[in-house]
Amino acid sequence: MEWVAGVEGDGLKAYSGYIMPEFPRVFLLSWRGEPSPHERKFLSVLLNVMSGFTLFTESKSLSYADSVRILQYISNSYVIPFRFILGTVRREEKEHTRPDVIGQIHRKLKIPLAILEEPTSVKYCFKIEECERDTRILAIAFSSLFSSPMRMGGEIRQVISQLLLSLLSEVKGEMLSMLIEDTYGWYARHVKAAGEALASELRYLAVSLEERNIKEQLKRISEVLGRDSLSERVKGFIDVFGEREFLIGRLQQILQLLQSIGKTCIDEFDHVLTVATGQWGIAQALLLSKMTGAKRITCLYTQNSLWARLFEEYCRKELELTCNCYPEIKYLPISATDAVMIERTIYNVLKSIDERTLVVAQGPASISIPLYVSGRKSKLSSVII
Amino acid sequence: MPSVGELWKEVFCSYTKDLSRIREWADSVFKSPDESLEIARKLTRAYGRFPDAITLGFSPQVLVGALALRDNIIAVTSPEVWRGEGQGALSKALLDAFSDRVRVELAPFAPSSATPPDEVIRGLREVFGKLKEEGVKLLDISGGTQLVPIAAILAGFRSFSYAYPDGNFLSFYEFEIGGPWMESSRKVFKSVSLFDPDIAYALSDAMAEYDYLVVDREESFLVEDVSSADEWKKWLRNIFLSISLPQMLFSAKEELKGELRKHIRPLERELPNESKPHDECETLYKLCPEFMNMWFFSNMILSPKFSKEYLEELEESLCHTEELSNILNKRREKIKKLIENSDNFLILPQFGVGTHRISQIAKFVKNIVNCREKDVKILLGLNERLMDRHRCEIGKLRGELKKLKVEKIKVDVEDVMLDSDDEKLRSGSTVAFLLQDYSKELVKKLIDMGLTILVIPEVSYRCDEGGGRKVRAVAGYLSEYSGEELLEALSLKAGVVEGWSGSQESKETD
Repeated sequence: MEWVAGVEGDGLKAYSGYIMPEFPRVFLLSWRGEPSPHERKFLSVLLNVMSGFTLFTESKSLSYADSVRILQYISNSYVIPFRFILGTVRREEKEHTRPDVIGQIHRKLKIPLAILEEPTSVKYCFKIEECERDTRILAIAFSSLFSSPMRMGGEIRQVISQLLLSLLSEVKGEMLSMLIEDTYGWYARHVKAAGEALASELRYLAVSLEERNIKEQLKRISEVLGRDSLSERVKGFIDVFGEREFLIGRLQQILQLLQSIGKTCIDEFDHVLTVATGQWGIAQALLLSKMTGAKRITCLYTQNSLWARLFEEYCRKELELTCNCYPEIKYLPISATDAVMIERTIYNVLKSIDERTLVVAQGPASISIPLYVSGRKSKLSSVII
Repeated sequence: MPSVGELWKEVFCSYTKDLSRIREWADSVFKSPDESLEIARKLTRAYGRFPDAITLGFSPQVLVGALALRDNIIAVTSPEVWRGEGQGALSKALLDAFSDRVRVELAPFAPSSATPPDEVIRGLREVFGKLKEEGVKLLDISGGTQLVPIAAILAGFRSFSYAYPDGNFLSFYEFEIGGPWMESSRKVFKSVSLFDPDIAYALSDAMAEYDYLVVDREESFLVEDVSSADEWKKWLRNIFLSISLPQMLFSAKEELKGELRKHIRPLERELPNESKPHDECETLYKLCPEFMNMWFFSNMILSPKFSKEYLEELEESLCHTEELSNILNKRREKIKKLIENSDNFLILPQFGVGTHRISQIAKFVKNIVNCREKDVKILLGLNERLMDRHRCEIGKLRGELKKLKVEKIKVDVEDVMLDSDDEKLRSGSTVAFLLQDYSKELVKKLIDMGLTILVIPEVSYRCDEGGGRKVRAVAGYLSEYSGEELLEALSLKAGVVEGWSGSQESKETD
C-alpha cells in the first residue's frame, strides 16, 4: 500500500492510499475513543462533500458505525462522483463475550471492508488542529483524493485545487502540493487504467491529464504560494506548470481574458454575469470579483454544473466567506440544450440588468454564444471564453 | 414655469401625489392627444410584450403609456371612473380623449357596503373571463385595487405586465405566474425518466424510469404500476441511487400482488387520482426536458437540506409555459426561413471526436440540405492545421458529403482569419452550423461579420410522441431527424444566434 495522505486527530484518523492504478482508492478510517468536536466537524464536512450532497450530516450526532455506513453508501452509489474501497483498522481484541463487540466484528467480516494496519508512513500527514476553519478546508482537500475517474471527478480536483490556491496559508499550500502530486501521479494513471473510460467521455480527461514528473515543479510551488494576490499566484502557477494546465488552467484563461479588457476597464464594473462551468467555484468568483471590482455576480448554471454550484455555496457557508472579502452571488438555472429555455433565461436576465455589468460568457457554446451576443446587443461589455 | 418635458418627467416618469401637477399634465394630454402620444412614445418602454388590455384606476398615466405602445387597447375600469367621480375624473377625461382607440369594459374595483370584496372579485372575474375567451393574452394589472390581480388569476390569466415609473421612463414589465407549480401543492408526473446530470453529454441513457412521481409538501413518493412480478428488481436499483430517493410504492392487479410479494414486501398504493398529468407538465416535458431533469434530480436524489434552498429558483423558471410556447413558435418560423432562404451553409464540425461522430455530422448535413427545395452551397471550415491533425476524419466527412456541392473555406483557427474567403461567406446569405463546439475566436469573427449561427448540440433530451420511453437522450447532432421532424428538433434544441457587427455598438471591449 502507498499511503498518500493522512489526517490525524487524537481519536479520529483517516488515510488515503492505493494499491495499484486499476483499483479504486482506499479510504481507511480509524476511530478510537471519543473524537473531539473538531474531529467530528472534519468528518461531517467530509461526508457531506463526498456524498455529492445526497445526504446531510451534522457533526454532533455522528458515531463510528454511522460513518462507516455512510461511507459504504457513498462508495456504492451510482450517482455520487467519489469512488473508493472502504477500509478499517485491524484491532487486537481480547477474547470476550460482549455482544456489541462480537456483532461489530461479524458485520465487518460480512461486507467488503478492507481490514488493514494503521499506516506507519504517510507522504502528506495533517493534524486536526483547534482551528475549525482549517479543519473544514482539510476535509474538503482530503475528499478530493477520492474523486472518481470521470469528467466530474476531474472537475472536483480542479475546483478544490483552485479553492486551495485562492485561500492560502502554509497548511493549504501543503494540501495543494498533495493534490497536485496525486493528480499527476496516481489519478492520471487511474483514469487511463479504467479501460472502459477510454471508450467514453473519459478519453478527454485522459488526454488532458498527462502524467508528469512533478518533483521539480513542486519545489517551486511554495514560492508561488507566497505571492500576495490570487492573480499573481495563478500566473506563477502557470509559469511553473505550463499553459492550459489541467488543475488551474481555467483560472489562467479567465485571468488572461480579463486582462485583455484593459486596465482602464478594471474597477468599472459593479456586476458580473457569467455561466458556471464544471470548474466554477470560490476561486473563479474571487478572481472575477477582484479583477473587475464587481461586488455582485449573477451566475447561470445547468444541471452539468449543479454540483459546482452547490459546492460553492456549501464552501462559502462553511468557510464563512463574508461580503467584506467575497462577492454576493445570485444563481439562476438555465438549460444547456433546451434552446427555448436558454432564450427565455438570457432574455430575462438581460432585460433589466445593471449597465455596469461585465458579461463573461463561458461554458457550453449553446449558452455562451447567445449570451455573448445578447450582452453586446444590450450594450454591455461582453467577453467570451 | 416648468417646461413640458419637466411636467412629463414629474408626472409620467415618476411617482407623484401632487394632484395639481397630475391635473395639469392630464389637461395637456386632453388638449392635444396626438402630440402627447408622440411624447409618451419616447418616455415609455416595455420589458417583454405589450399588454393587450389594462386595468385603469385613478392613474391615467398607464392608459397613455399603453397607447404609446400600441394603437388600440382594452381598458377595464370601474363605474366610478366611468362616471368621472372624484379622482376618477382624470382617467375619464383621457378615456374620452382617446375614445377612438380604447374599448372600455366595466367591472367593480372597490368594495363597498353594497359590494363586498368577494362580490368585487366575482364581477371582475366575469369581465376578465370574457377577455380571456376573446384571446386577450397579456393583461396589465397596475391599475385598480388589490382585488384585481386575484380576480385575473382566478379567471385564468397567467401573463401580466405591471407599469411603473423609474424616474426616466414609464416601464411596462411583463411577467408570468402560475403553472402546475402554483396551482397545486401536489404535483403528479407520469413516466419520469431520471438522467445522471453530469454525464448528459456522454450519451448516457436514463438511470431509472418511474411510472409516477408524486411531489407534495407533506410527502413525496414514487408509484410503480407493476405489470410483471419481475419488476421487483427495480427496488434493487433504487438502493444504489440515493438515500434521498422518495419511497417507492407499487400498484398492481390482484393476481400480480401475490407474485410480487414472493420477492419483496413493498408498500401498496393505488395509482394517484391525478394520474392524468397536468397539460402544462406535458408541455414542459416537450419544451425543456433537460431542465425538468434537473428538477427531478434535485427532488429525488439530492438531500432536501441542499436542494430545498434552490428548488424555488428552478420552479420559478418552470412557471412560464405560455412564454416558452411563444418563443418556440417564433423560433420555428425563424429557423424555417433561415434554412429555406440561405444561399450557403457554412459547416463548422467538431474534429478529434472519432470517425463515428463524423458520420453523424455528415448525416445531419445531408438531412438539413434535404429540408430545402433549392440547391445550397456547402462551405466547410478547414485549415492546414486541422487537415494535418484530423486527416482521417476530414477525409471521411468530405467523402460522405461528396454528392453535395461542397467548397472549402480557409479557416485559420489560430489567427482568426478567414482570409480572402470572407467573400465566399458574404456572397449571398450564409448560415453557419456549429456542431456542439468550435473555436470561440472564429465564432466571434463570424458574429462580427453578421452571420447567423445555429448551435447544434451533440446530445440532448427529447420528449417524443409515440411509444417507448417518454424522454430519451438523443445523440448524433440531431442526425436521426429529417424533414419536418428535423425542423421541429432544431426549433427545440438549436441555439440561434444572429450576428451583430461591432459598428452597432456603443460600448465594446473585446
